[in-house]
Order: sequence, then structure tokens, then C-alpha cells
Amino acid sequence: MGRRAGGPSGDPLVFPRRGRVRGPSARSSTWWGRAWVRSFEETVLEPRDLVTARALARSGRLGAVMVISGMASAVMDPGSPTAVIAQVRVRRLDDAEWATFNAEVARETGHLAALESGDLPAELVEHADEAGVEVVPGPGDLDTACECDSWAQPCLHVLALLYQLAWLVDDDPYVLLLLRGRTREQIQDPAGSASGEAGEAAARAATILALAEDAPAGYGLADTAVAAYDEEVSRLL
Amino acid sequence: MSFVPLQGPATLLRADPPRDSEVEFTGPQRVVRLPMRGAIPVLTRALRADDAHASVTLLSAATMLAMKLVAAGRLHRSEDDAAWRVGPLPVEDDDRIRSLASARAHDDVEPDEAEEVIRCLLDAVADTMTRQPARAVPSGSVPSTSPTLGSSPRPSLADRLAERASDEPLPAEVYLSLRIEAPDELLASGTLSVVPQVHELDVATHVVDAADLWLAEGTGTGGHGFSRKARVSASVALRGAAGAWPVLDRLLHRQVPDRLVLSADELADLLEHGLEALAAIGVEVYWPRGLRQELVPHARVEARTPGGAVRDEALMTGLFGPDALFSFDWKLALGNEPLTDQEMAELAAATSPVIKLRNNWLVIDPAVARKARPAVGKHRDGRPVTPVVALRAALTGTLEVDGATVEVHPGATLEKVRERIVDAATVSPLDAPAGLEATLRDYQRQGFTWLAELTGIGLGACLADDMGLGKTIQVIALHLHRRARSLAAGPTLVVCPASLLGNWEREIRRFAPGLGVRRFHGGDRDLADLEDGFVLTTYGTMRVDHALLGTVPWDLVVADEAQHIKNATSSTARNLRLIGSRCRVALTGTPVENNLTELWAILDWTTPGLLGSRNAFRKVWAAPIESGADPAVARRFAQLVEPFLLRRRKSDPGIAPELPPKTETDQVVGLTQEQVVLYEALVRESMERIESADQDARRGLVLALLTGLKQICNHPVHYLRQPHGRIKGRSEKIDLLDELLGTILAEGGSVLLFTQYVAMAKLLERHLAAAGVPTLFLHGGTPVRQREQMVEAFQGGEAPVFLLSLKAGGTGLNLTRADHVIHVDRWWNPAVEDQATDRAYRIGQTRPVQVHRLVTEGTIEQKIADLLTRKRGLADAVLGSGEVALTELTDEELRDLVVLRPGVRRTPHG
Repeated sequence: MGRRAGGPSGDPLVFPRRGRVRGPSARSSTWWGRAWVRSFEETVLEPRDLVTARALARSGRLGAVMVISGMASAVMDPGSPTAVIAQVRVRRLDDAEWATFNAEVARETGHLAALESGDLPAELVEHADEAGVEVVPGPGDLDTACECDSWAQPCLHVLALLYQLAWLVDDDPYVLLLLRGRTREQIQDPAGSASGEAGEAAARAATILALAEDAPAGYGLADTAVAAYDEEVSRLL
Repeated sequence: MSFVPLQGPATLLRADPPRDSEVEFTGPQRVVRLPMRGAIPVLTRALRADDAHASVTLLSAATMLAMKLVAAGRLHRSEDDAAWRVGPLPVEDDDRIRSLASARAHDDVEPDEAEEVIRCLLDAVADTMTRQPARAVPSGSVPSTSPTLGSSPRPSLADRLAERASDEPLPAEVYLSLRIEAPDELLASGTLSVVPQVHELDVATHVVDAADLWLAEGTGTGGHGFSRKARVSASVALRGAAGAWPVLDRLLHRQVPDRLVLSADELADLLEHGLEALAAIGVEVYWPRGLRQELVPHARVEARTPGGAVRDEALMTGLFGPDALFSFDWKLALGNEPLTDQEMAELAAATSPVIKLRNNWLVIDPAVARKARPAVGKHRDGRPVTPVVALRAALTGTLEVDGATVEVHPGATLEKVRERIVDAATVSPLDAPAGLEATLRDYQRQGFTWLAELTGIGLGACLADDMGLGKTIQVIALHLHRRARSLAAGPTLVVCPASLLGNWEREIRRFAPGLGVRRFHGGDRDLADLEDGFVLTTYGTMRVDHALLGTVPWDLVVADEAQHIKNATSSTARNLRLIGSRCRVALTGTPVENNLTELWAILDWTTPGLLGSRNAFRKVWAAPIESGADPAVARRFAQLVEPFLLRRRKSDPGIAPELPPKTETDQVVGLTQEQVVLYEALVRESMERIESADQDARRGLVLALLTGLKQICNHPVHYLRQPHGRIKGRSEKIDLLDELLGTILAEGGSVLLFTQYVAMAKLLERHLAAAGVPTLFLHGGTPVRQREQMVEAFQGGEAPVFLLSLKAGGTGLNLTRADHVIHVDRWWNPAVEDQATDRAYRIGQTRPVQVHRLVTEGTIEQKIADLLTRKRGLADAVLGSGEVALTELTDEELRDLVVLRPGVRRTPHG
């Protein structure tokens, strides 16, 4: 199925590089995929860029796509001297918005089953919308960046990434929800261990682990590096 | 906190909740005691200090592990919600803890102790990493079963292990079933409700209402025992079920999929389509006891007199004769009580599947209810059916009516017949009939009784015992029994392959000496002045002379090696059908039951019509069984066929102990015309020369004569030394060998084939290769190493036939895989023959061994064989030294021995 949102945490999700895509069309096949495409196509000034970017998305030049909570990135022409990283940031729904969304999911038993089967029920999104939560990001929810020196933003690399994300979102609406900030597990079980308190603790623990990688070796009274490290870590506790 | 001594011992001071634990570091000058928030920064960098104390490194490594576990989300609230703890842990994390403990155990700390320290520290870190303490224990409430709040500040290691077991994640994967609830008030309005239930995967008995997953807790006493994520699995299963039966879609729109009250239409839809569609995706539907399955179609088949009244006398013989009448009634019945007309009318008029009959609520399939309507009902009474259809209905419990399969019950008379047929193979056996000069083994008595029972009702039978179990003697006993009970009028005809004629004649003469036996075979055959005995004929003769044979009022016709009629369209099979008799018995040693078409051909001869016409058989039985679509069809077929087929294997537990470890049979065959001419010419020429030869030359001439005769008896090709000569149709030994091997190989048996002559062995090898039978061939010139390889190959089952041509000197050959030994020609030395036989029959042999000796009738072979059996002692004396002894006979004695006995029957050429 290829639409199952990854391992236990579901974050990050890594989708292997696509080969060259052939065939007449690479349009999104779902209503939410098309909505995603609309969210960024509206902001592009030069319509020809869209044609070029679609061709680029299908060219096989874009590397593996990594999706993490609120963000996606991919390398254009990985391994070549001209490789650049394209990045898309999506505004995460805040805890209150997620609480509203979760309540809408819980309203009908069938919603979770639909999500599990790769379907994002229009009814669910409409109800969430009425409750003030926009699941599909609008133009204002996207922020893009790229290492290239193009003056246009989003640049062609980012647009190619956005088109590929549309296909990924077609296959699995959980990818869209992860871009909005929550993993499949968190949505399935909002009260579960991987979310809330435990989730935040996990994030802090991960930061501490990263700090410890470069922990200073000294232990002297006058070692400022040690003192700075200890302070930084205890701030995370 | 910038200076904390790492070179001295450090100790974890446990507390409850774990976040209140402290770590005490000792240095040369001072002791520093830090809370977890202070200790964690130190411990996360302490691994980098080369000179840290072992106890510090232990705590440091444990802290890093704790961080990794917390980062991976492996933490949960404790049972009482008072603290956070690490876990539940997958096996690999548990292993990491243990290997860390053994790696970091040091002088003062044993691995067990280190492990406990690590686990405590893990919890302390986990509890510290979460900002807010877990929910405080409400005041006044007593924590239920938390081992962490016992009297001692820290639970023992054993307690912690026990706790870990209870931390095992609750199951999250479920499958779905539906429970029907039918309270009277719902039933009264013509409906009922459906409750989805979820079962733990692989633990069907762990089942709760699906709604509980949403409404109740998973843990604790009274918890449903599933993880919260089971909701996902349950929703997906429900979505799948709604795909199969769309009415369930309504549940998917509920917040909690609790229950559906079905409308009458929905209930009808469930019964007509839903149940099948749900079953197809593995969703079972459970009904309250009594609500279903009690209203059954009740059809009866019963014998009737021509006047129309049900026959009630127990009539057996002729029950299936041409004047027998059966009829068929159809009604619906509640329990065993057929519905009254009034009740049938109520049922037909019902608008909902729920009706109340005789004070019971019932849910009736709409399809069943429709049958109660008048259009169908008009066919209900007294339809005539043929006897064989009635029999089929009685045995299978079903009947084809207007293209549909209806369940039927046999009426009382028919039921008695059915029981008699079904029990025929197990009733207490009859006594052996008078005139039988043999003691029947128990299974033979049982088999003969079975034949007597079936033929007594006027039905046929197929006896398919393994070769060697004595089918012939069971038939002879049947023949005698039918006469003793005055059931028979007319002789018995046996149709068999030509090579078995001799055997039949010998066995009848031996076991029933009083009976007449006539071979209807060869040139001067006739059927004049038949007595009440046996007539033996071959399939070939029968095919030609079926018209003449058809004029005899046979009591019994027996088809031996009935696989010869397995092709129903062959002229052999068609002509055999034209020969009438009171009953028919088929004998075969091959497992006919494995080929449906062949089985049909044989049973349709023994009991015509039982399995229907060939086309009907393919449609009703063969095609559904071969497709495997409906196992019930195969079961009904077995019920139908089983009573008419008796197959005992030599290896059956009830049979094996009765068999002697070694059975020896002389298989008598005739000579072909070609062999007779060669034989007589050789005798004539040689005797002239012998009578005029001097003593020394005489000895050589006698030996040459004996050898030549034996070769002729084997095969003309053998005697004439034609290495490429045609083999088929020139020797009955070959024909019989083909019959024997066909049966043995079909049984999965293995056989040793002995001949004195390498040339004969090569001939057989060529013949068997042409037939595609794998053989091994060992002779006196085979090198020892190769012999061993062949023996191993045979014992390993690589080839079922082992050709051996060597004097008994083949010592050390252990060929216990063989359960048959065939002596193609005679050794004329019992000791040599026994030694050869003993290759198969020796220590290690677990199966009975059958020895077949092929003997040509009326020839020197048979005369010596008679000599050997009649005067074993004398024979030992005379033949002890082998054939050389025969050279000492006088001319007269020699002539007597070698001359072909007059009146020997010859098989027609070709």
C-alpha cells in the first residue's frame, strides 16, 4: 500500500527517491491532494514556472523526501556538485486546534478507519473547518526555503518538492497531517504515550542526547565549557 | 555544581516518587549529594571522563540509556498515576539493560545488583524528564496494587520483574464478529439488533463489545484488556464488514459503534445476502440459541405399495427390484414435527423474517419462507421416485428436486435398509458356509459377510482389498453362502484376465472341492449342461461371446481385476453390462477410489444408477469435488459410495496381525500357442537323442533339455535368444507379471523379481523400461561396491522393482523394503528358493511378505512344483543337489516329467 505512516513514532517519514515518472499526467488523484496543490500554485507569479517545476518533479532528479512534523525537505540532484536542499515549512496546528480535530475524528467511528485505509473523509475536514481548524494548509501556512540563488520564492526546486508532496499526500493523508504537526500514532491515540507530556519529554531527551554528543570532557572548577553544558542541560529538565 | 567529584564511588539514593531520588558523589575531600536535576547534566558528560569511578560510569551509562528510551517515547504513567516510568520495553531494550549491567558491574556490585540500580535510575530519569509530575494520588484513595508503594522504599528485583510482565502492552489488533440480540419486545415488532464484538487476534475467547473499546478502560480489574489503539483496528475491521454488508455503514457514522436495530427489510437482507458476504470475509454472526436452525425442510423418501400406503413390513430382497416403489414428500418442520397447513400458510404470509411458531420466536430465511408458498407447495406430496434414487437419498440425506438440493429423511422402512447397508461392513460376521474347506481369517469373514449383506438386498459391491488378502476365497464363500441360504438360482460367472484363470480354478478346487468349475475360454469352449458352480472366462472371451454368456441366468457375476472395466465406453465394459445377473461383485486390488471416473465406471456396473448417468455424475459429483469448492459435496459422496466399497490394506491395524509373515502362492499360467509348439518340438527332438546317447553325453543332453524347456516356459524370446524380439503377447508369465506389478505398484509396494537367467532378467528389464517402471538389476557379475549401492537405492525407495539373477549366494543382501517376492522361474531347489525369498523376509521386515511363484501349467515346471509340494521330504532328497539329480532319472521317468500334459489349454495367439 505504501501509505502506512512509518515506524512507531511516524516521524520522520522518509520516502525514497522516485525514478523518472512517465505517462501523460501526474496530477493529484485525491481532493485533498488537489487542495494542497492549489495552496501553493496560487502564490506563484510566473505560470511557466509551474510547468517547469512539474517536469522537474517527474524528472527523477529530486532525492529522497523527508517529512517531519511541520516540515519537509529534499535534495535536488543529490551527490552532484550543484546539489541544493529545498525545504518546506508548514504551520503546525497548535494543541487546541489538534484537540478540536481529534474531537471531530472521534465523532464517527468510520473516520479513523477511513484514514487507515488512505482516505481523508471530506466530511471530517468540513466539520473541522466549521469548528475553525483548517486541515489543508492555505497559502499563508507555507514557508519555503532553498539553498539555490534563485530570486523567486518558492523556487523551482521547492515547487518540485511541493508537487512530490502532493503525490505522497494522495497516497497517505497521514503525511498531510504530519506536515500539520502530528504523527499517525498521535492521531490514532491522542491520549497515548507518544503524545502530550511524554512526547515533550521525548523531544527534550533527544536534545540532551544531541548536546551530550559534544559534552566537554573536563570537570575542573574553572572549566567554563563544563559549566555552560551543565546549565544548558538543566534548563531542559 | 560545577565541581562534582567523579573519581570516587557514586550512589543512587532511591526515593518515591522516583523524581525525588538523589545521587551521592564522593571525592577525596568531600561528598556531593545532587537531586536528579543536578545529577543528570553531570552524568550525561561523565562518560567522557577517563578516570571516572566504575560506579559513576555505571550511572552515567544508565542515564544515557534512559535518555534514549525517553527520546523513543518508551515511558508511561505508573499504575497509580503517581509517577512516570520507563516501559513497556521491547525485548531488545531489555537486553540492552542486561548487557549494560554485566558490562558495568564492578568490584563492589554484582550484575544483578547493577541491573537493579540501572532500572531504578531509568525510572528516576524518566520521571524527572517529564515536567509536571504525573497526576497526584487523590487524597484518601488507597493505591490499588502498585508494587512501588509497598512498605519498603524500593520494590525487590523480583517485584520489578513481575511489574514488567504486567507492563506487557495490551493487544491492539482485533478481529470482528457480530452478535445478534433478540429481546422479545424487538422480536414482537419483527426485528432484532446487531452488536459488533471484537476478539483479540489469535485469542478468540478474549472478546468484548466493540463499544467497550470506546467507553471502558483497558487495564485493571474489569477492564476490557485491549490497548487504546485497538479502536483503530476495530474501526478498520468494521469498515471492512460494512463493505461486505452495507447496512453496517450506519455504525461507522456513530461516535461509538454500539449496536444496530435492524428493520425487517434489513434483517431479510442479512439473511439473504449479508450472512454469506460476512462469512466470506471471516466475520461470524452469533445467534441466540433457538432463534435459528430449528425450522428445517423436512423431506421424506419412503417405500410405498402400489396402492399408495406406506409399506411397513420389513422387506428386503427385491426392495430395489423393478416393481419397487418409492415416493417423496416435502414439508417444513420445526424440530421433527412437520408444520401443519395452517402454520405453512402463516409462514407464507409473514412479512418479516421473524415469526412466532408454536410459542417460539424464529428467524426464517426468506428463501425457506418462499418455499412455503403455494406455488412450491403444490409439488409437496407423494412424488414417485425410482428405487436407486431413493437409495441415494437415504445414503446422502439429500435429493435433487427441480434442480435444487433438498435435505431428506428416509422413512422407517428405507431407514432400516439404509442402516443395514451402512452397517454391512461391521455386523457380526456370518459363519463360514458349509462346503468351504478353509478357515477364513476374521477380516475375510467380515468381508464375505459384507458381500452377503449387500447382495442379499439386491445391491452390488466392490471389494478392493489389497492383493494377498484373499479376495478369491471371500467370493467362493459368498457363492457357497448364497446356496446354503437358498438365495441363489444359477451359477456364478467370473471374468478375469487370462493369466488369472489358473489361479481361480486352483483356488476353487482347493477351497470348495465339491463345486463344479469350468473354464469358458479357448477354442472348444461351451456352456452346455452348466451345473450350479463357477464358470471362469477372460475379458477377451467375454467381449466376443457376451451374447452367449447373456443367455445364462447367472446368480452372480464377478469382475476380477475390475480396473479392466474402468473405461466405461470400451467394448469390454459395455458388453459386460449386457450380461444379466441377480447381483454383481467387482474385485480390484488397485485403489480405484482415487479416480472418480474409474470409480463411477465400476460402481455403475455393480449397482447401476446409484451414481447417476455419467454426465449427471460429472455435474453433480465429480466437478464439484474436483474443484474442492464445497467440502460438503465430498462428504455426501463418501456417504454414498462408502457402503459399496470395502478396501482393507495389509497394513491396517486390524488386518496385519492376522496375516502370516510370509504367504506363498503358486500363480499358474498357461502357455501360448507359440510356446506349446516350441516346447513339444524340443521334447520330441531331445528325447530321441537322449535315448540313443551314451551315459556322459546323456547327462549334458538332459541338462540342455531342462534348461531349454524352462526358457520356453519363460518366454519364446528367452529360448530363441532374440535380444530385440517382441515381448508382449507371447508369454502369459509376462501378462501375469504386468497384472501383479500393476497392483503392487498401485499399492505403493516394492518387489524383488528373481530369475535364474541373466538373459531373462535383461528381457524383463527391457519390458519394464518400456512400461516406464524404474528397476534395479543385480546379477552375479555385479561388483560388490555396486551391489551395495543398489541395495541402498532400493531400500531408499528409488526404484520399486529389483531384478535379481544370482544363485542364493547373494549373501548379505538386506532387501527388507520389499513386500513382494516374485520367482519368475523355479529353482527346483527349495533351499535355494527359500534363501532368495529370505532376502526380503528377514529381521527388520515389518510387513508381511508375499511370495508369488509363476508356474506354467502342464509343463515340467508344474510337475516339479507338484513334486515339491506333495513330497517335500522326497523332493529334498531328490533335488537337494539341484538339477543334476534329474540327470539320474531313467528315460521313462524323464519323459514323464518333461512331456506336456495333454489337455493343456493354450491361450490364443496374440
